[in-house]
Amino acid sequence: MLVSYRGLFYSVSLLPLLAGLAYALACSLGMAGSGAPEFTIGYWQQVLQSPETWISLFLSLAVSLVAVLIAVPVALILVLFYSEALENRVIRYILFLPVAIPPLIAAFMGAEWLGAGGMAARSVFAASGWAIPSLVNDYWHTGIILSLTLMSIPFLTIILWQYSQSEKLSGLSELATSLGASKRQILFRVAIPVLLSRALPNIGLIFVFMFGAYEIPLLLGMQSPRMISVLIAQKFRKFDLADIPQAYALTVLYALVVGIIAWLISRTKREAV
Amino acid sequence: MKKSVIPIFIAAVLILPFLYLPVLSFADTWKYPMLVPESWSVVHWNRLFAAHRGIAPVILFSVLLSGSVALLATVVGFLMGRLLAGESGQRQIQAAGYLTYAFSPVIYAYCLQFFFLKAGISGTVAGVIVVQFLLFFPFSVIYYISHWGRELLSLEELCFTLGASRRDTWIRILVPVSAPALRTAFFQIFVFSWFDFGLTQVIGQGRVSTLSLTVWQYLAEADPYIAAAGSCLLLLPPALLMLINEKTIRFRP
Repeated sequence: MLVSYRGLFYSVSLLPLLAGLAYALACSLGMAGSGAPEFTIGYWQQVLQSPETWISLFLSLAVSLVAVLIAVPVALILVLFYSEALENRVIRYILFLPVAIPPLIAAFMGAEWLGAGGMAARSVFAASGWAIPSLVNDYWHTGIILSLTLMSIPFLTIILWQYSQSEKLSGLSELATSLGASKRQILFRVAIPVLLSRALPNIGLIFVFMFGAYEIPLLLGMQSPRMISVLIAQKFRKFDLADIPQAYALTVLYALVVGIIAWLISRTKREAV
Repeated sequence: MKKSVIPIFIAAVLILPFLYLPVLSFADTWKYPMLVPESWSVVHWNRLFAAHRGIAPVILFSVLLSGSVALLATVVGFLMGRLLAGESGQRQIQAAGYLTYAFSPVIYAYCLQFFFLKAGISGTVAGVIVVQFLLFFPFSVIYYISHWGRELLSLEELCFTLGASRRDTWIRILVPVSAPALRTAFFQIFVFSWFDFGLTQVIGQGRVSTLSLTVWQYLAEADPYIAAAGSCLLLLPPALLMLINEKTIRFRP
């Protein structure tokens, strides 16, 4: 009976996604969509030969990686060195409040604070008299990285803080101390490995979210190159019908990358267990 | 206190941009390089409530839409969680749920657009409810699978052993015991739906107007003052919910 319950769950959760991807694949091969069905790999050739595709994928991966690499250490520092402050309900509320901020508002705030004449520029000017360049729509995608990082720090802090309690980190540290470990050894050989191995699937999930982020790169990114979600959405919206099959091909490519990342996460998790 | 300086600083960096929203919404003129507005006004709030049909119906509609999606996903997820509880294959179920949930909503919506067009629900409220349900239902199931642990299943068994009917067991025992979990999941999914932008934009086709889409419209019109006023309204429910229960809100970039 379980098989049918599980089947019911898959049919509501996974089947629509798989059906959507199957349709996307069919469209990208000319077998579905507008016009008479005719098998072609032309759209895939156009997508795979376009530097725009690879730059966009690389950019999305790089931006997500940088944001995760900044956010994880900050959250670790907060949890490992300032756990007493996190016990304070007011500090915790303020620290965790950005978790309740939608990406759309985060993007808006990014534009207002980091853009030309934004609050960051005004503050620097008031303090030093210097004018700073806009960090929005910039070459290094600073605005996108900063916004994604600031959005993920509270969530990572919550996760790591919960794991530090469930894994009884203070008890483990005391045990390590009684066995003669130095503070440095406790930090790098006990605390950080325990927390990171436990939180790795969550960190991977955040990476996947960032990889497919839409609102923040849409508002804070350059026209070219664009992050993958923005590139796909813009291709879908173009009036040129030839762009639609390419958008579907890019969708399949995006799904493949997400699948590979998910597989890597599950593998790492299994090894960690 | 010394130990609190860094967390307070980080909290301030995280929270300052959002305190800026109400300030911007009440600013009349605020030229560079002024750090605070030169004059204050309620004109943007008046414009927000007077613009088009007014924002009030949009807020009411958004509340009803998010409430419907949250109710549907919570109830169905709770029941599905029970059906799948305590059995093998949990890992695959969770992986399948997370895979859908982690997929970029806007790309997911484009994948499904064809089927919604064929079903005749693209550009309708029903279509938006269905597409949001499809994305948030897996989250609900993942949440409830862990809720339906051995303790709750034993409680259910005990009720049957003591002669309670299935109906009484659910209405008098299981649902009241699960009330906090039901509340948390409902609020969580309500907030996901309340924040949704990509799904509604693609499947709603501009014919379904939510508060998120209205704020986006003001941003696209390069009207930051009125967008700031709209954003304050958008942030109000999740901030209040978090004040009630900090575990309520999770993250979705």
